[in-house]
Amino acid sequence: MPWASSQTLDRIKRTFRKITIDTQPNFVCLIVEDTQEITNILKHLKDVEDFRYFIDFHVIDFPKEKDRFLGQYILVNPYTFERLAIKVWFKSNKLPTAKEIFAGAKWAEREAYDMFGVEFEGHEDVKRMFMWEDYKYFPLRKDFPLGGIPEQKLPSLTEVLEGNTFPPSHDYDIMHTYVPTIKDIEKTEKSRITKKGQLVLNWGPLHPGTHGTMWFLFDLEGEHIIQTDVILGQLHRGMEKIAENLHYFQFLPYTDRMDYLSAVCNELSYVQAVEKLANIEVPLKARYIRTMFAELQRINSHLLWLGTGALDLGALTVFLYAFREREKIMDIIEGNAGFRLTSAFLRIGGVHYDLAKGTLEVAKYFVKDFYSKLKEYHGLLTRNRIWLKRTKDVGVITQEDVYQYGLTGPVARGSGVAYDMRKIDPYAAYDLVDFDIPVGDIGDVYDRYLVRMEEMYQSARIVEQCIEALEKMPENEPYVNKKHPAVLPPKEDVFNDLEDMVKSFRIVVHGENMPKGEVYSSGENPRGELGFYIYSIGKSSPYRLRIRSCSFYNLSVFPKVIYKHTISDAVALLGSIDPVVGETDR
Amino acid sequence: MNDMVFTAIVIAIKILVVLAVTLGLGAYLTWYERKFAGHLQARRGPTVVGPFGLLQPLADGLKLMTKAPIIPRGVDTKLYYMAIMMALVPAIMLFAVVPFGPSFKIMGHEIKPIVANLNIAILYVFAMGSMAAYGTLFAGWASNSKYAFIGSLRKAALIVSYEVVLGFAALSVILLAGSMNVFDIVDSQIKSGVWYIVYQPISFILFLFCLLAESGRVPFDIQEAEAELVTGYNVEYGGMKFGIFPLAEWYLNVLALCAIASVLYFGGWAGPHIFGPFSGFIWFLAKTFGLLFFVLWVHWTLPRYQAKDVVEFAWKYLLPISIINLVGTAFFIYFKG
Amino acid sequence: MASSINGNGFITTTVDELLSWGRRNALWPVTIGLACCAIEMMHAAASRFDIDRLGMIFRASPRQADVLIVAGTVVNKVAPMLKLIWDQMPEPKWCISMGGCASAGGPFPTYSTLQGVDRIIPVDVYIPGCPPTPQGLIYGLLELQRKIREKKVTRYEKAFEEFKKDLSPEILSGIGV
Repeated sequence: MPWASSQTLDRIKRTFRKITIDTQPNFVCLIVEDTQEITNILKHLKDVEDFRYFIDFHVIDFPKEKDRFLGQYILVNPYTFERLAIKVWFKSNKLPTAKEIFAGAKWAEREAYDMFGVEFEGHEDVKRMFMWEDYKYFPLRKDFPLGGIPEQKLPSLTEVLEGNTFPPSHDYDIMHTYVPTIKDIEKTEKSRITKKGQLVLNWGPLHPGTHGTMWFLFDLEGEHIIQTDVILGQLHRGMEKIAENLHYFQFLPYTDRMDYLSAVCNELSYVQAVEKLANIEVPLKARYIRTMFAELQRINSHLLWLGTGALDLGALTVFLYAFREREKIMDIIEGNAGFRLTSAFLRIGGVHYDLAKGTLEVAKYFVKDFYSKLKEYHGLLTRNRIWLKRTKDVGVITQEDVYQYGLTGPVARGSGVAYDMRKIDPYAAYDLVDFDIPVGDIGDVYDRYLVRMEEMYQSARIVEQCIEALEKMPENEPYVNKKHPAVLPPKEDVFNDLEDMVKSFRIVVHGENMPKGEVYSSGENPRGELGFYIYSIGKSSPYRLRIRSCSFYNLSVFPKVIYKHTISDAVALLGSIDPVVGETDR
Repeated sequence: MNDMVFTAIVIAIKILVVLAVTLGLGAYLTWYERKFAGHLQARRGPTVVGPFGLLQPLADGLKLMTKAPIIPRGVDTKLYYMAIMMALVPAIMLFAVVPFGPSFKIMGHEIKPIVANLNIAILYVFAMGSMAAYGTLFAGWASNSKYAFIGSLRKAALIVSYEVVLGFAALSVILLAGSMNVFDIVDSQIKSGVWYIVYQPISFILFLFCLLAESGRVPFDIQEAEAELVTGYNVEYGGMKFGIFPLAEWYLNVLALCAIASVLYFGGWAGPHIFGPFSGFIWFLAKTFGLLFFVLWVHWTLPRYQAKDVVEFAWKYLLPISIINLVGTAFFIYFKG
Repeated sequence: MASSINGNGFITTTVDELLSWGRRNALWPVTIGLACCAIEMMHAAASRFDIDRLGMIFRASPRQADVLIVAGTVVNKVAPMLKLIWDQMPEPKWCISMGGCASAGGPFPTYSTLQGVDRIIPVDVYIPGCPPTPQGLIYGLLELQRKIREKKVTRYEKAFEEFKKDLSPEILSGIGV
C-alpha cells in the first residue's frame, strides 16, 4: 500500500500552510502544528481528498516534551487505497473531538481517555472504556508501573484453608492490586445508560453466548431494543503495556492470545511489522509456509464462527460437525508447531521449524475432503426456510457505516466494500497465488454468512496452490533468514555452531537494537484488518506498540444497527459481526 | 359390592402401573435423548456410568435430590413451589386417557388398559395441555428475574396460539370418527381398515407442529433459547426442582402427545397379529416411539424461530389452513352420507 | 447430610458411598469460558473428546450446576461477578481452575489481571497448560472425581469461619464475602 502519493501530498501542502510532511519508508504522516486546525484538516481530507475511511486513532505519551501527549489518526482513501497518518499534539491535555466527522472515533477517544487521561472538547461526558468508572489511574502513561499499584492483601484461599506450609506451596505475592466490589461494577453499569423504556436487560458479562465476556445493556420496549450500550474490558490484560517492557521477539506469544481462534494470522501481521522496521527479507519457503498456515487458520476461524453462529440460532448439530473439521486442522498445526491452539509457530525472519514429514500429504487429503464437507454445510443451512427468515434483512450495514466506523473484513465486504489487505498490499506469498474475494450487496446477516462460506472455499484453493509450490522446492531450502543480525537462528544450529550460539545468547539476553523509526503495517485477519503501529527509538523493545484491533471497531457499529430490532436479532447480528474478546480488549 | 371392590382394585393397580412406568420412562428418556443426540453428532452419549451408560439417569437423580435447596431472595415462595406442581401434574394426568392396547379379559371381567375411559377424552387432552402453561408462567413470575419473566411471557403467547390450532386440527379427526372416546376412534379406524393419516394428512402435520410447540421443542423452544435467555424460565431453580421441569415438559408431555397422535392418526394398537397375544401393545409402543424418534430428530437438526415469527406463523398460516381443513372434512362427510 | 453423621456404621457408609457415586458421575459444569482456554473446553465437549461420556452436560445457569470450570484469564473487573456466580451455586460444589491464567495469573503480571482465581474462590483442582489440551482437561475432571470419592463434601465451613476472623471489613467486602 500504498501510502499517499506525492501528488496528494503536494495538494494538501498547498491548501494548508502550517503542516509538515514526514515521509519514512513505511510511514507517511502530516504533522499538524496548530491544534485547533485539526477539525478543518480532517474535514478537508474527508470531503475533498476522499480520505473517508477511518482506520485508527491513538495516543503516544512523551513525558519529557512540553505538550505531553501526541494524538495520531490513520485514514484511508477507499477509491485509490492510499493511506495517510495525521499527528497532532494535545494542548493542555485537550483536543477537539473527531466524533462528528468519523463516528468510529467515539470509541477510540473513550479508550484514549481511559488509558492516558486526556480530554476531548465536544465529547462531553466521556466514559472509561476498559477499566471501571472509579479507577484512579491511567495505565498507559509512562510513569505507571506494569504491575500496577498493589494496595490490598489478598492471600490465596487454598493456602489459607489448607494451612500455610513451609516452604510455601506456591511462590506468590500476597499484596495485590485493588479488586473492585459489586458496588463499583453497578455504578459503572448505571452510568452507561439512562433508562427510557420499560426494562433494562443485562446481557452478559458472563453469559453462555459463546463469544466471550462482553457486556451489553439493552433498554427494552416489549421485545424491541430502543437503546443499547456495550461495556468492554472484561478481558483487558494490558498487552500494549507489556510490549513496552519486552524485547520484540519475546512479544510474539502474546499476539497469539489476542485473536485466539486464528493464532498464526496475528503472528503474521506482527512479524511483518517488525520485519519492515528492521528491513529483514524472508526466504521464499518461509513465505509459502506462512501463507499455507494462515489460510488453514482462516478456515479454522470461520468454522468456529459457523458452529457458534448456528448454535446461537438453535441449530445445535452444525456446531459439532464444524468442530470435527477443526480437529483435523489442529492436528496439522500440532504436528508442525507442537501446540494446538496458541502455537508460536512464526519467528521474526521466518518460521520456527521446517515442515514436518508428511504434512503436505495430510494437508492435500484434508483439502480434498473439505470441499465435500463444505457442500454439506451449505445443504444444511443455506436454503433452510427458518435460517433465511432469521438472517435475511436483519442488521443491514450500509457502505457509509463501513467508512465512518472503520469496519473491515467480511463485515465490510458483505456491504460491498472490496477492501482486502491481501490484495491491496500483498504480503507473505499472496502475490504468488491466485484467489478471489467475495463481495456482497445488501449487507445483512445472510450476505455476511455467504461471504464467509465463500472465503472458506477460496482459502482451500490457496492452500492447494501453496502445497503444489512447496512440493516443488528442494529439500534443504532455508526457512529462516539467519544472516540478519536481529534474527534468532534455528535450534539445531544453536547447538552445533559456535557463532550461532553466541548470536542466540546475545539476542535472548540483551535483545537486538532495532533501527529508529515508525512503521504501521497491517494484515488480513479472518475478522478484518489487524494493524500494528510501532514507534521505535532505537532500543530492543518498542517505545509504543499500538494494536489496531479489527474486532474493536467492528463491534462499535452494533449500537447503531440494532435499533428497533429484537433480542433474537441481536443474537444473529452479534454472530455475524463475530468479535473475539481477546482482541477487542487486548 | 364385589364388583365395586374389584373395579376399585383394578383402577388402583392401573394408576400404580401407569405412574411407575411413566416416571421411570421419563427418566430413561433422558438417557435415550443423550444417546440419540450423541450418535447424530458423530459421538457417543453416556458410556461410562454402567453398561452403555444405563445407570446415568440414576446418578443424575441422586445428585439432583441431594443438592442444597437455595431459595433466591425476593421470590414469591408460594408461586415458586406451585409452579413445579403445575408443570408436573398436568403432564402426568395426560396419561390417564392414553389407551395402551385392546381390551382383554381376566377372570371373566373385561379390562380396558386405560385409567379413565372418558367420553370426552380428547377434550380432556386439550385441557391438560393448556394447564401445562401455568407451570411456566408461575415459574417465570415468581423467580424475580428478568430473563425468567421474558421466557415465560413468550411461552404464554406460544401456548395460547397453538392450542387453538390443535383444537381445530384434532376436530377434523373427531368429525370422521364421530366420537371423542379414544376406544371409538381406534375402533372406527380398525373397522374401515384405513388409518386416518390417509384421510387427514394436513391435519396430521398441523398436529405435529402443535406437539412441538406445546412441549417447547425446537423449532419452537423460544422460551429457553440458551444464548439469549440463559435457560429461560427455570433459571432460578436448582436441584430436583429444576429436574422436574424438563422431565414434565420435554419428556412426559411429548410422550403423552405422541401417544394421542398415534391413536388419532395411526390406528392406536391396530396392526397384523404377528407378535402373539401382546401384539396390540407392541404396535402401540412402536408407533409412539416412532413419532418420538421423529420429534427428537427435528429437535437436533433445525434452527429455531424468533418469538414474534412463531406466533405470527400460528395465527396467519396454521389457523386458516386448519379451518379450511375442518370445513372441507365436514362437507365431505355430509355429502358422502 | 454427610457431615452430621459421625458413626462408621454399615448403613451410613453405604449411603455415603452411594451419594458420592451419584455426585461424581453426574457432574454438571457451568459454562464460564473467558478466553483461549474456553476454546479447548469446547473442544473437550465436541465429538472427538466427548465429555458427555462421563455424564457431564454443560448447564448455562449456575443454580443448576455443580462444578465451576474457570477457563481463561480472570481480570480484576470480572472478579466480583465470578464470585457472585460461585455464591449462586448450591452446595455441594467444586471449582476447577483451568490453565495458567486462572491458576496464577499466567503470562500477564499486569495492573488489571487477578493473579490466580484462588484469591477469591477456593479451588479444588488446578490444571496447568496454556491452554491445556482437552486430554488435560479430562484428566483434571477425572482427578476431581477421584477427590470426590476420597473426601467428604462439607470440608470448608469451619476453616472458612476461622479465615474470616482475620480480615478487615473492607477486604471482606472487596472479595465479596
